[in-house]
Amino acid sequence: MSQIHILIVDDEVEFAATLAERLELRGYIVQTTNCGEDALASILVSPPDIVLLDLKMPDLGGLEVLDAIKETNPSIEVIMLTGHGCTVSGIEGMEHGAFDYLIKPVDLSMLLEKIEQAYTLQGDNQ
Amino acid sequence: MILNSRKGNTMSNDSRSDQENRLRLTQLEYSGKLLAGFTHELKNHLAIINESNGLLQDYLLMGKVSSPDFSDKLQDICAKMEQRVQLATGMCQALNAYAHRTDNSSTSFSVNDFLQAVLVFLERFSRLKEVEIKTSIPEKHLITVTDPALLQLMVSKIVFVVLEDIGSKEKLEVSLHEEEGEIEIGFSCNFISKEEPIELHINEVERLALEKLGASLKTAKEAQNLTVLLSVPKQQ
Repeated sequence: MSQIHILIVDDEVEFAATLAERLELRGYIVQTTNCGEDALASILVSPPDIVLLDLKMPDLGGLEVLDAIKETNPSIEVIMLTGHGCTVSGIEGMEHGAFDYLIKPVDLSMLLEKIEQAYTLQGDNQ
Repeated sequence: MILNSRKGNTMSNDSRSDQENRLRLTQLEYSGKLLAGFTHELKNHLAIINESNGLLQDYLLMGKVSSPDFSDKLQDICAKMEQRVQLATGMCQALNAYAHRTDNSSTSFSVNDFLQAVLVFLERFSRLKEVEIKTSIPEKHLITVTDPALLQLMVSKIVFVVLEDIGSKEKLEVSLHEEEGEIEIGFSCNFISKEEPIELHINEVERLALEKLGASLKTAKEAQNLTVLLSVPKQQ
């Protein structure tokens, strides 16, 4: 399996850590941050291939982080993770340039599929 | 004609009925806002339980669970799941109490318990704003007789107004006192990061809510501090 670098950005520390562990067991290289500012700083130092981005966070909201990522490094694909029951916020994320969105609790097989699709798209675009 | 004692003017039955409808719509609006935030938080707990359960299954499939070295890891995952189940159960109990708050428009209840339950619903909003809500609630139960759903509306309104304008990293202190036959719910905060403290505007609909509650509202501003006192009648 290709070594895909993933950054998980979620203020729920346990959620991010557990999801990271599950992805690492599947061969991905995963980093986690728990706020938007740290995520942007981390991306500057070590840009990932894919970002899994929570929509609602205390400091910078997911959409603000998404805009900043797309401005500084548009080749990074972003998958939004949302706890909203309705899909409006996910669609809004895609309008801001996100590859796709998933509703929490996340179906892992669905997430893996999205990650691979996003990575393939990234390769096609480069 | 009905006398609106708080405004000192008269109000037609039509106008009263119009305001009653607007009050119900306001209650629905706040209810939606509270429930959206609350269920979002509940889903966070479920998401963690879901991932922890998935992680256990991953390790089971890898045949690692029977390894003695894995015992601590296994206990750690199970403890996390148990903690989240407990938190989610507590939230479901709060949700059930919330649903029952509209059962009676006038009932006797402990403002101590009420306040703690309502603040559970507002916790997510304060956390997103990075504002800490500190409570000072006495052990002795202070019992009121009023409409719990309307009181919830007014408490939520005050907290939302404060959270809207207060700077992040600040504190909101919520206190409860007995004062001259009334029960006083106090909301106090500093506006260190703001030049002017916020104003709490009460519209006609909220005035009607206060009237129905038999409550009164006072605000006091001093330097960079705002204090809001919501008083409800004490059960005689």
